[in-house]
Amino acid sequence: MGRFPIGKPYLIPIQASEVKLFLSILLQITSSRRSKLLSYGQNRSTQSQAMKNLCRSFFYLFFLLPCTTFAQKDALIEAESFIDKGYWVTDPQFVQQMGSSYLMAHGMGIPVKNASTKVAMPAKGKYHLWARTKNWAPGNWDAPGQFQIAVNGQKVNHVFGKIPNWTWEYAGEVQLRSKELNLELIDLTGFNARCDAIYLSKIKEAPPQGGTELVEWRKKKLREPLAPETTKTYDLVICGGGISGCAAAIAAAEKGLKVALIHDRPVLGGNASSEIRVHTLGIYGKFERILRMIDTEHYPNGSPEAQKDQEKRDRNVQKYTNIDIHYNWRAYNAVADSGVIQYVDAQHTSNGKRIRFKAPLFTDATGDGWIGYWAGAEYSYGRESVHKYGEAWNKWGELWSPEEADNFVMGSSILWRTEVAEQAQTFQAVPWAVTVAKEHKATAGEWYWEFSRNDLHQIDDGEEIRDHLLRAIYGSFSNAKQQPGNEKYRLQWVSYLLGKRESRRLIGDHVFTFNDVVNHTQFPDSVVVETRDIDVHFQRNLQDEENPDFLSEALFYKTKNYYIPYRSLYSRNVSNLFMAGRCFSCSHIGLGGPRVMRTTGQMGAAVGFAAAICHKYKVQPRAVYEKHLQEYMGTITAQQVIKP
Amino acid sequence: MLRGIGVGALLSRLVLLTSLGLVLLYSSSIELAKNAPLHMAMPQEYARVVHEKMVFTLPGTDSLLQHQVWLLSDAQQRPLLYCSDVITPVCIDGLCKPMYITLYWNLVGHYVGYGVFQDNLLTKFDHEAFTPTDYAKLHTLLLDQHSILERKTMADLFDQSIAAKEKITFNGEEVDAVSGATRAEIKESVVEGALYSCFTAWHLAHGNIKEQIEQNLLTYYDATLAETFLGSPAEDYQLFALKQLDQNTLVRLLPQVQEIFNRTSPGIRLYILKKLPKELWKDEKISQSFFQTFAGVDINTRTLLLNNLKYAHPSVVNSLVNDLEQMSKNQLSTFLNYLAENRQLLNGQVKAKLVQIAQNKSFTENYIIETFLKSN
Repeated sequence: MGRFPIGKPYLIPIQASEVKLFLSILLQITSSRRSKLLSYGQNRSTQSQAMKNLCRSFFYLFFLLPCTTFAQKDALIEAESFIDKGYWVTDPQFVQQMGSSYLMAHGMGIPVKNASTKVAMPAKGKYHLWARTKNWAPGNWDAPGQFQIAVNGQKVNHVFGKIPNWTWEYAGEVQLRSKELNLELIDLTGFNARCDAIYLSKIKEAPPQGGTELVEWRKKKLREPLAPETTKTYDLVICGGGISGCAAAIAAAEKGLKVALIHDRPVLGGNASSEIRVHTLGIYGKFERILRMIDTEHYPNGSPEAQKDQEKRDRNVQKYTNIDIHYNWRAYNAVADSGVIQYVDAQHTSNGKRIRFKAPLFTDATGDGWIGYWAGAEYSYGRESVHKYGEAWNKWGELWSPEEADNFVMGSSILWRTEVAEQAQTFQAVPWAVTVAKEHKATAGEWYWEFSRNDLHQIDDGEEIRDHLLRAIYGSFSNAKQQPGNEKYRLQWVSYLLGKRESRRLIGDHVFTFNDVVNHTQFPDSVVVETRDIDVHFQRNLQDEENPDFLSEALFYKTKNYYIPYRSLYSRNVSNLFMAGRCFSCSHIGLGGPRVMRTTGQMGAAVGFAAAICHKYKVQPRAVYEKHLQEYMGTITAQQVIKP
Repeated sequence: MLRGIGVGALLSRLVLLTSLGLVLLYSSSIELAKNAPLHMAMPQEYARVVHEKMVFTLPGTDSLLQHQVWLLSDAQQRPLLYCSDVITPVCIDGLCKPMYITLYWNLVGHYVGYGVFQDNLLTKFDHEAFTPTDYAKLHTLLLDQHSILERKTMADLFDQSIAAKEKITFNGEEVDAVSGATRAEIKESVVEGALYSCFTAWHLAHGNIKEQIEQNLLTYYDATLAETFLGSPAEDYQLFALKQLDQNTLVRLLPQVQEIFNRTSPGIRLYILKKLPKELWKDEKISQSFFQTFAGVDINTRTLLLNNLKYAHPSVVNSLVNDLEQMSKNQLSTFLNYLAENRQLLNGQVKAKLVQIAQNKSFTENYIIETFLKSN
């Protein structure tokens, strides 16, 4: 799936085998990443900086100078690897779609501080300059996300961000008077300008615009080896550090397993994190002690109070010495042989390093079911036909469960909030956003700011969905600002991370459905219990197309206790794969209740304890149900008497 | 959460109130059409009511009361509406008082109006009488099938113990606290000072009644009523009728179904497109009649139309090519992929139009067509 970002600034001399040889020798000598030698400016002590400068001079003198004899040279610099990101944010959400993490100027209308980096070029002279970027809201208006690039302090006379779709925009030639290159990204608008990478070349030949051509080109430019540089081995590898992933890690770690927790953000919690700020709902079931370590208070969605719970969560998971938390690492591949996952590969979202994670057991807590998807696990997406599992509820008919299956799913949300300043605040005109918001006015968001459409896939089209929600927010706020009494409002916080509700659902030995709720089915392997209503959303514009397309309604089926069996928490055809979180084995309606985070946390904890049984007997997840159920359920039941 | 009163005392009070209420209710003479609606979304139907017939009883929210549900019909005994006189206790902090209201539903069980008892008008909890604005707001609330009251319990509304954690404002005014916009949404949707009456009435109007009315409807639903429903502007009638159609009848009534498609909501359009037998799409006239609506229908319907392209008569390509600028990126890809797989349809006219749109710089997705043309 796509290419994967590489980190530090890179120099790749083209058709210069001698230089490549020198570089590889240098690499071996230093056992370090090439880019570290080719760039500088990181926070170091004066002493180490001096040493570094010395090394750099040495490097230039003895290795790079020969490069100047070759006319054809280029450099590919990944934006997310910039040494100083200023207030640009790293966005790794859409790597599998557009090819890389990227930097984004998420300033809510106020241009953000410049991002900058330094690169040692192979030669001075003229270079052609491209940046890969995108006009994320094209139309008959000025593009919202515009930026410039400064080269050695001089702004390049080109404004980026005006072309729809991810594109290498050509900015013309730049003259480098020395081999030291200072690059800056200068945000011009504050409205989500984005830069994936910068490419400088002596030859005016644009890189491929996309697809497999671009993937291959980048691999070649970055000289990515086939396998990651490092391999690590664990008892259990968990991908996704949301509430379910954290709970799984804690449960397994408490049973003595050596756990890797791979998470593509700098903080744990996923939708509950201080970056997305959805409060946790649902009950604790048998896992109150574990879940209290990582859940949230019931503050309003979007509240900054999320920060307090964030600190609690990170602190509590970090205290387990046998959990290796890999913050800012994103899995990009899982390889299975005969239905058994051999390893998961992950890449750092900024520096591009790669690690291969090996383990006998894996847990997919990615939400989007990525590990299962890559490993060939069966999965479902969309709404099943009402006949498939018999999930009819006449009260809501087609809105609940359609006669014919379709690809509607519950949508994604972006939470946001405002504050009242002491003085009147201006907010610039946003014609590119008002076309989405139309007449809608708002000064705060809530759960029902949600977007789903049947031509958009919640994973494949995630960036478009996120951008549509940003336009809805900025446009609705701009409209509200026109109302008397709202002069002092300003945006305080707008998330740029999608809070997803539904995407791929991996299929296990049991598919949890509406019937399990209606019948309150008790299973021999009931490991999760919930009382929350089944709560399924649909877009308001399906009932009345005059409604904004970014608002949803909820349908509620009130119920008493219902149970999720352990058999819904492992893949039916990838034998060493657990799943926890919204990608557990369920139907669209089945997901409606247990998709909230205390419930998914219960799933995680149940998976963690199951992994311990697997580890103890050297068996795979299904055997826990078939051969060790009594012991497993004993472990689960014992949890409820351990008080926090 | 009833505080300040024991369960036993509460039950006694409820029984007393129930008895009193029932005596009051049924000692008065009940004539035709109960209390006339004060607010009614289907006034023409109500104006034709001549007959009434008790059809079933509806358990009250507290299960102590049973409410009779009546079917109202016209002079020719054609069914029009359902209604029920309701007396129900409304309680707060252990104090209960009866609420009297006549609720009206349409034939598929959706609330359409309510009437009041002239000798027991609605009051707020401080006994202040409802104003005309309050009555109108109650009707608006009851018409909202997805009111926030659906997902709240009485206990949620009673629980005053939760300390406000932050203030939420809208238009510069503080609107509520505790759980942010959720509480604000409650306040916006209910009659101020009558939250519990609103809650009680909403749950009566939208509880199990819909399913019971639908079951009753099916006992007399016939071809005449089907025709009425299909011709009705009420979308819930259209959908009910469409769902009852078998495929043969659907084909027979296709012109009428197409007429509904042209004027109804996106959700029902999607239902129609899914229900159409795939072989029907082969018919050029039928295909054209649906695809020519492309530019005028909502984006979700367009997606489903394009998903049916593989079943449709090939001639629709010639009209669809004029709607390319209405398509989203993914819709455009669906259309172009279809063309790539059916290259014989890429005639001069279609290609010329593609070239023209590819050159239209104000169409933001033109690069997709450009790419397509390069490889085709």
